[in-house]
Amino acid sequence: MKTTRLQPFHTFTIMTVFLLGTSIIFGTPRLVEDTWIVDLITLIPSCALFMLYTHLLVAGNSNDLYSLLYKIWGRLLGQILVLGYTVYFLYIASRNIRDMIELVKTTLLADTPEELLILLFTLVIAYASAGGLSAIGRVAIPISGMVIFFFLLLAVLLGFSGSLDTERILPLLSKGISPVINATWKSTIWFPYGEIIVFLVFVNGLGNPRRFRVLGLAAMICSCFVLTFSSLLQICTLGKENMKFSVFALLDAARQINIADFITRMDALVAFIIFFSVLLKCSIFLYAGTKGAAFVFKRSFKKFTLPCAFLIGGYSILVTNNYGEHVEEGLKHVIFWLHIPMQLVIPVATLLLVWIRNLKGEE
Amino acid sequence: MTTDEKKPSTDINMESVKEELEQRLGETSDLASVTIRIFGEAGVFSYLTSMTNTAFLMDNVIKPLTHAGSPLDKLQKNQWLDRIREQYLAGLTTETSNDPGHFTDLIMKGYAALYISGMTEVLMIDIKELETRAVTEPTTQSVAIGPKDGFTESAETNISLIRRKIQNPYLRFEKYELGQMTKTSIYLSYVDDLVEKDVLNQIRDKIQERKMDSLFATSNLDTLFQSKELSLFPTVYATERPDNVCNGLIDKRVAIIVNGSPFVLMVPSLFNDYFRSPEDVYQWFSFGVFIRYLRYLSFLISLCMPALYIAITCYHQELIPTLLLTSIAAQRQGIPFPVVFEVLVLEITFEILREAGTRMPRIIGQSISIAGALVLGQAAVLAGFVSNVSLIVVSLTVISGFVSPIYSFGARIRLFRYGLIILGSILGLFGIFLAVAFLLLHLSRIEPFGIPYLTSSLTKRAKKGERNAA
Amino acid sequence: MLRKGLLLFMAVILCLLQSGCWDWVEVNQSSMLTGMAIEPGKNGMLKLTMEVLNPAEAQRVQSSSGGPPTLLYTMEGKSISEASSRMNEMVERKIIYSHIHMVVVDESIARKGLNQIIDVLQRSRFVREDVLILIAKDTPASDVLKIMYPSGQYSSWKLRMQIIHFYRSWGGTPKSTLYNYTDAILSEGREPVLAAISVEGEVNNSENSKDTTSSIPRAIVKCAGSAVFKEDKLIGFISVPDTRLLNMIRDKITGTSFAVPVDKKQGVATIRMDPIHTTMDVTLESGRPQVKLSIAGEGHVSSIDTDLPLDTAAGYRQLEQMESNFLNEQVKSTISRVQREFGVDIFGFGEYMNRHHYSEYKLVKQDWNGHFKAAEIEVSSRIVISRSDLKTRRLNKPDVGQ
Repeated sequence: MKTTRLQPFHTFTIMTVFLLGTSIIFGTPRLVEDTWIVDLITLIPSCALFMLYTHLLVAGNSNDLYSLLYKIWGRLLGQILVLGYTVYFLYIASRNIRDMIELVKTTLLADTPEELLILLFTLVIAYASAGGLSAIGRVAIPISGMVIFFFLLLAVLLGFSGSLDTERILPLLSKGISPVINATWKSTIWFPYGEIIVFLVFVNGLGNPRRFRVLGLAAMICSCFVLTFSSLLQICTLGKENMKFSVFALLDAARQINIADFITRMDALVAFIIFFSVLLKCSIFLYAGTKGAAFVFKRSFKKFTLPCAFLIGGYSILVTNNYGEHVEEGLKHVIFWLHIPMQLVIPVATLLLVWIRNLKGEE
Repeated sequence: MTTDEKKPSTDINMESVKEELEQRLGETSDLASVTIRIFGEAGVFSYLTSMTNTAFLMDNVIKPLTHAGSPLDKLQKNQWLDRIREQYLAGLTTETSNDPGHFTDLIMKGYAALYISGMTEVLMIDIKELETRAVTEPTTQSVAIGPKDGFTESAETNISLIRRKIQNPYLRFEKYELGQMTKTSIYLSYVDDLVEKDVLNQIRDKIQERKMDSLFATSNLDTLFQSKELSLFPTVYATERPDNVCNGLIDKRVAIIVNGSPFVLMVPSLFNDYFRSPEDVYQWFSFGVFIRYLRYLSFLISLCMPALYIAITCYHQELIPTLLLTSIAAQRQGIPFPVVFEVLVLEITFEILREAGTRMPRIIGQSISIAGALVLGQAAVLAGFVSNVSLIVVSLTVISGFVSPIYSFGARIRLFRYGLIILGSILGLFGIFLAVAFLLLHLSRIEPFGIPYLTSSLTKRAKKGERNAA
Repeated sequence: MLRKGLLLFMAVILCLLQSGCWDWVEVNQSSMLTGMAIEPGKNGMLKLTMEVLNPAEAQRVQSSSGGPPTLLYTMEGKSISEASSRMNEMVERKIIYSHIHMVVVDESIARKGLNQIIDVLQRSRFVREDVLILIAKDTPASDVLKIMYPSGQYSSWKLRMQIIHFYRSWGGTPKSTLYNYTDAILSEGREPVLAAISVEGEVNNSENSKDTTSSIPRAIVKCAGSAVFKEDKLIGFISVPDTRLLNMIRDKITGTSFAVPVDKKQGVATIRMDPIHTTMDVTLESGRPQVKLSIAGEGHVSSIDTDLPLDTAAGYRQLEQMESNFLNEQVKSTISRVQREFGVDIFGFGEYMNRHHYSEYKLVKQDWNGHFKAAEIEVSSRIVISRSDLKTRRLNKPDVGQ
């Protein structure tokens, strides 16, 4: 198969939508009241983390994560690590599907069996991921267009219905700056920004590492602004206190829209946004996962698409019993046991090894 | 096939030519064989009256030849034909041949065969004239403002229509013949310094590889250029308008003209092509843009409207403003069918009406619309079989389906619509999201001739490619 | 591969068709719930009165039989959701909850606390946040829904429109949606208020559609000011004029008219104010909150009883001055009445302090209502009267009596 490189604009949008993904709906985890400050502050360490990733590729002189791991850690360890990442990506994908299904079950279809919804959804993401990076990149343009457009539409409609009250932002930092920094460290770096590590798998298709770095940083800054804006929107409509109690903050905000008693109930827009952004996110994870499996077992990645998709779908049903467990797992265990090792420890260890090898090579 | 085994050059004579023709063409009534005498030698003219212009033959071929003196005497007999060609038939396309297979083929194409006894070759003179339709306004793609000429069934006319608009030395017409039975000539047209060489080569390969028995219309070629993967959207653009084709040629495309079909194909065709009409640029710019986006909107309406209507009224009543829902509910009181059934029945009724309207003789068309609109629509609502809202939704959908400038595209949408209706009626909005996602992914996966279907225009794509490379 | 995929797809679709449509609700087999009244029932249960729409009558598109636009059903249950999910005990249609306009709560329930009612409304995805929560004052809540009106309007729709328009034209009713209530409950330093309504006239004679033929309504629902809450418990009512000033102090008013006394006798000048804005500043001085309110507004004269010279700048100045004084006095008396009678901050002074002077507010956070009672109020207004509509002075013969 011909490897077609994505155009820079495609790369940028695919990363932006990926970062916006689920976090635009669920919002920044509401550990503190001033979520929008958390959003802003997170940008700095996340960008540093991202620079670390790209530096890893440049130092290791490699164009994708899997072959780098293989090269640095040797055959056996490399294979284990690649499989580890594969499982990690598939696991995150299944959590994302679960997020989406939770919203659909609460807002759109209460009685329809979720197995069916998940089955159909996984078939669609399998179709997307089988098309490879170029198909995902191309579909990212209309999806990002729609997501951003509908999001702005929500903001404008909220403005027109007079629900926005900027006073609600106050008081700023009522509990001091330390809880904010804590929240940054505990969650927002790893989700959504740290998840960008998945793109290291196909830097080859995205352009060279240097262009990848520039585009990635641009995407991060852009999505940081959108997320901050989204947080501000939620705070200004709902108020900080109210936000703490809502499951889907943007949905609750959207429910405030009322223009002349006719344009009301924009719930569908929110469902639309989350459906499509999760679709894109999951197909990227699935594609990365199948690439990993293909790398280890030396087969075409298309052979793994359907089985992996069903695996994601099935696991998204099994992953938690109820919403409380889902959130707790996401905020505590996943970050500590999965995000930090996969997004920080292994890359840093790899980078150290690369340096040691390079030093030896020079001697 | 015994004739092929003969050695034609040696034993060609008057009798053998006649025999040859009779054997190949049989007792066809439009074969004329006229004996004449030229320079004192007996000769025979053979041609098909149905393919040639007899008056032209008389005036421009037979008259000069019979009036000629005998200055040819001094020449060798084998130089006669050349002299005739140069002196008496200058300006006409002529050819000599001694292969009976070849010259019968030419006769089929409207050449006249002149055999003068004692010659070793037959002189073929092109006097073709076919009954063709005059250049008229296109019927399927009419515009309010802009050129009114449309392609005809004659490939030559079509080529001239294109050449007239693009006076560029790089404009090329490459001729191929397809169809073992029909020997239809087809022409590839492109602008040599613009066209994507890669695409052109793929098309050439496909045409040369392809074996088919008969070819009457461009639609037969559709399958040839479809991509290997399943594609629910048309990837071959058929148009009746020369200005459309010229736009395409300038935008790096290849046009395929088939003799006998007033539709010219263009490949590779992209998604956006189906929303562009040449009229857009003939009007005030902003209005053209507005109209184009209106087409995208009506595409969406035609695709999703009934499905959305069903999904929202049956699954998500909370999304409808109170007064609207009251009104819908009031109208649906006492309707015996569920909404899906109602919509599907109406859709299919409209399809039947449309089909009947197209195939009907024009004069009866009126009564169809009366029967359809008044009798079915009005009466069904009054009888309480269908609700007004459903009727409005379906009518709007059907009308929007005809907005696309290209007929074949609208036809495909109509089919997807049923899929969306079914999904929407089972899973509500979620089903529609799924279907829309699938269609989007499908669109982004189609790559006719290696060019992504969602590319906005080939020229822009090439420019972008250059920028990336730099 | 392709064919297999298609087959799989077809199989899935077929399976779907086999199993049916789970969330399907057919519109002509269901009815919309538009209003709900909650009263205490027997044995500590809740008595729910549901107003269910009869669409063919409410929307007279086709010839209707003249039946009532809504039907009322009464249920008792331990909780709202229990009672409402058992609606089909007596209703033949599936109930659509998503278009509920208002919930009328009986005074006695509100005195016990609203929380048990509010939670179900907030949690349900069907109930919108702009559903009106109204307190029925001096009447059983269900009476509000029982009254029929001519022109096919049903009570909850009529009442919703009435409240919206009254708010817009005069500001005599507080913003009373579910969202406003939760917002106030959750915010630091502000107590909720909800609109109060009461019924005037004979309810029993206006429950029948025949009664709507009279041009004088036998009974009518009217706005009766606001219900004041402490936490989620009703503690009292304030009048319609006080409610207007409450709205004005909170800067939540779109336009209103003031009848300003202009002489010692009964003479008033009516001044239509639009727009009018209030800014507040609350600080803490030696433990006592200092509230500074400044009102700024623009208005025009819509009637006047005396001969104020409205063709001179001085006349305008005089009237402006009178109105400012009047407003200052009114606002002060309203606030002090609330301080005296209820002792809860419904004006949002604490909320303002929390937002703008967080460090000071921390000191008084524990007992804000107590501090509120002692708060010192200072009001200043700057009123601009810009025109006097079509006439200048009041029409009179200038030389009479001289």
